[in-house]
Amino acid sequence: MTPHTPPRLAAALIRLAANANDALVGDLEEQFRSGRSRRWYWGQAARMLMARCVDDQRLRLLMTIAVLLVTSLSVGWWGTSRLAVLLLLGFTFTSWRLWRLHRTTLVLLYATSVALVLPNWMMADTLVMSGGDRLFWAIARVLAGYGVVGVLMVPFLILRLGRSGPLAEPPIALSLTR
Amino acid sequence: MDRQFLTDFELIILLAVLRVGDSAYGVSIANEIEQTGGRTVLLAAIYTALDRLEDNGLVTSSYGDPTPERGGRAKRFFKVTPKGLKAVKETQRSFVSLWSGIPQLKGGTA
Repeated sequence: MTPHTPPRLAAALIRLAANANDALVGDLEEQFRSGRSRRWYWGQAARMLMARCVDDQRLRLLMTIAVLLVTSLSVGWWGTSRLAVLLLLGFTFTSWRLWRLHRTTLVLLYATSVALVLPNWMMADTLVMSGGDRLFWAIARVLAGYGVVGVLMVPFLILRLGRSGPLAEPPIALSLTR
Repeated sequence: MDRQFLTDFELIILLAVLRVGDSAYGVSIANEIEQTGGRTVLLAAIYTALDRLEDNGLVTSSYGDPTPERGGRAKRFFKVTPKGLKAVKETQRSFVSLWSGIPQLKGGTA
């Protein structure tokens, strides 16, 4: 691979997310060849994929089902929940994009999650656990609560996202000096 | 259904297309917004807004020739229609009306 060739995997992801918009794929390749970094190119791919996941109804449904399954695993089987926690962390990170658009919704979501798992946490016999296990247990429960509430909130989020759109830009910052 | 108002991002895009002129396509529009507007934008967001504007008859698009530096893909050039120009002027007028007569904005640069 030469320095002027876009990373193959990122290029494939961009083609997938661009949804047959050849002009957009060409624009990104042109920018990369004219000196943009690999990090920039990967960033474009990641943001496009994220937007597509929120925008596409089928992908959104798949994500919802995945969150539900992973949450069940996390709550039900302690032994397999280490993988589940990693996945849930991924979902939490993905939802970070919502922070800029729907701050109140996310704060409510997290607050409700913590409120749901706190009584469970206080009743658990964490004294017999090792330090690492105790921390891991706490993270797992909070994230599981987040996942459950997240699934319950999906119809509300879809309604709100539908109004502004996942690609909606934040308000402009006018520069008076330029 | 015709749209009555432009969003701030749509207005920025229309102004950038007008500033760039005949060679307005994704990259040149993004560069114009970056240099003049002082903000970076996601190329996909530009296309999403342009598609919306085209659906509303505010811009038209046409394809150029494929070039090797674009991996054999053609550029999609955009032009603002008379309807788009009218929408920009109306938005400008309403902004100017909103701007005028605000005491806090008079007599200082802060």
